[in-house]
Amino acid sequence: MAASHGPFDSILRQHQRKWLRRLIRAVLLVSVIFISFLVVELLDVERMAEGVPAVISLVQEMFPPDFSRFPQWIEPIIDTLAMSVAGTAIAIGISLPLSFLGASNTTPHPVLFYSARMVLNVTRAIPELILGMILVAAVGFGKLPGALALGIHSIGMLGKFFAEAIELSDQAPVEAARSVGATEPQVIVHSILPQVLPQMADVTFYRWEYNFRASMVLGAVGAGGIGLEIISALRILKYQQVSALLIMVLVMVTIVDSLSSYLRKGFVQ
Amino acid sequence: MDKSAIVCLEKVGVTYQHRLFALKSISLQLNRGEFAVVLGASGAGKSTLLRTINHLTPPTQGRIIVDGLGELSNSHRLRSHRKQTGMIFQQHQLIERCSALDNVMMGRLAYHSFWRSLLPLPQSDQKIALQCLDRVNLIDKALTPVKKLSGGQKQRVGIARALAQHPQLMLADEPIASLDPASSHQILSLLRTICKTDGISTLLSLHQVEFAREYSDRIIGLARGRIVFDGPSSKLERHHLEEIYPVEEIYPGRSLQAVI
Repeated sequence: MAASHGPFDSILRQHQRKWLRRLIRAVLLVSVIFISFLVVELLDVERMAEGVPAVISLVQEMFPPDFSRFPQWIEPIIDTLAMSVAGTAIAIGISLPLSFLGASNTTPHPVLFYSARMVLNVTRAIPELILGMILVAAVGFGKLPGALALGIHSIGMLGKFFAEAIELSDQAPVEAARSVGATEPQVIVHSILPQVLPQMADVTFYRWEYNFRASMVLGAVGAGGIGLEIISALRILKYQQVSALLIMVLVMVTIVDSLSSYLRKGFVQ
Repeated sequence: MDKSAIVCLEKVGVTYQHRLFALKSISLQLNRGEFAVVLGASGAGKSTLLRTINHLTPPTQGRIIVDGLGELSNSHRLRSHRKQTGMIFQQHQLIERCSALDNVMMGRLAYHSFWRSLLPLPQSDQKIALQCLDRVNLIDKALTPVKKLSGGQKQRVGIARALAQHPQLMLADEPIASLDPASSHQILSLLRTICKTDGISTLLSLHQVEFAREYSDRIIGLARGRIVFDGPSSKLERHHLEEIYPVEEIYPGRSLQAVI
C-alpha cells in the first residue's frame, strides 16, 4: 500500500506547485495594474473630483444640439465614407500579395518572407495620425492624404491577419491541387484562397468600420471629412454644433457597423 | 521498360528524416488497364508507395520512369506526369466550403496557365467536370457545398476530381478507410467499372483482404517497406498473408490463426 501512495503524493505536490505559480502570476499582474494607475494619477481623488463640475458645465453647454449647419455637413460625411472605402481598398490591394509572401507556407523564399513581414510591421507601427501629418505635408490638405494614411496604416493589420489565415489553412486541398499537376501559383489561388476568403472578408469589413472611425480623427490634422468639421467647431467653441456632429457620427457609425456585419454574414454564409 | 508498362519503379527507396526507411529498394511495373491493390499492415509503406509514384513524397533512392515521359528528372516532366495521374485520398482532400463542382474543376487546373486559371475556366472544362460528377451519380449535388455531403458522397467527389484530369493512371490511398461496408462496396465497384471502361490503370491501397480478392486483378503485398507478394489474387495464400500481416510482433509466439 505504501508504494501506491508514492505517485499520489507527487501528483498532489505538482498540483500544489501549479496553484502557487498561478497565484504569483495573479499578484504580479495586479501590481502592474496598480502601478499603472499610480503613474497616470488615476488615484489622485482630489483632482478627479475637481474635474467633475467642468465636465458637467461642458455637457450643459452642448445642449441643445444645433443642427442648423446640417446641409453643409452632408458633403464632409460622404467624403469621410469615401476616404474609409478608398483607404481600405488600397490596403487590400497591397496587403493581399504581401500576405502570401509573408505566410510561411506560401512564401517563395525566406528573404521575401522576412521582407514582407518587415513591411507589414513598419506600416502597422506608424500611427495613422503621424502618417496623416506627413502626407498632408507631402500632398496638401484634403481627402487624398486621409485615404492614403488609412490605406498605408491598414496594410500592416490586414496583411498580418491574411497571412495568419493562410498559415492556418488546411493542407489537404493543397496536396490535392499538387497531385493534379497544378503549378505553385495555381495551388495558392485554387486551394488556399477559396479556404481563406471568408476570413479575409471578415477582417476587411472590420477594418473598414475601424477606418471610418479613424478617418474622423484624421480630420484633426487637416485630412478633410467630418472630422475637420468637428475640430473646427471645437476650436471656435461652438459646443452645440459639436454635440450635433457627434450625434451624426454616432448614427453613421451605427449604420456602417450594421452594414458591415450584414455584408460579412453574406461572405461567411 | 516493356510496351504494356505505364510506370516503372526501379529500386525506389524512401527514408524519412530521423527515421528508418519507409520503402526499401522497390522494383515494380504497373501495366496498362490493370486494377492492382496494395495490401499491408499499418506502417508497412502503402501510402508512401502510392505517394512516391506522383512524387508527393519524393523517393530518396532509385528512380521512377513514366511511359512517354521517361525519368521524372525535372519539374516540367513531373507536372505532365501528375496531370495524367489522378489521385484519390483517404480523407478526400476537398475544400469543404466549396461546391462539388468547384472541387472537381480543380482537376482541370493543369490544362491551363496560371493567368488563364484566374478567370473562370472555359465551358468545355465545366462540361467535363459535370460529366465526371454524373458518372459518380452526384450530378444533383453539383452546386452543394462539400461540407453538406456524406462520407461516401465526398469520396465520389474525390473520384470525379481525379477523373476530370482524364488520367491514364489512378492512385487511390485507402479510399474506403473512413467508410461503412456498404459505401465501401459502392466506391470500389464504381472505381473498378470506371477504370475498366476508360482503360485507366489503377493502384489502390486497402486494409481488407476480402475486398482486395474481390475487386483486384493483381495484389501487391507490402511488409516493412518491401514487396513480399506480387501476383494475381488467386495465388495469394495464407502464408503470404502471414508475411504481410506479421502477427508475432503484437502477439509473440502465436500464429495468425490463433489470433483470429
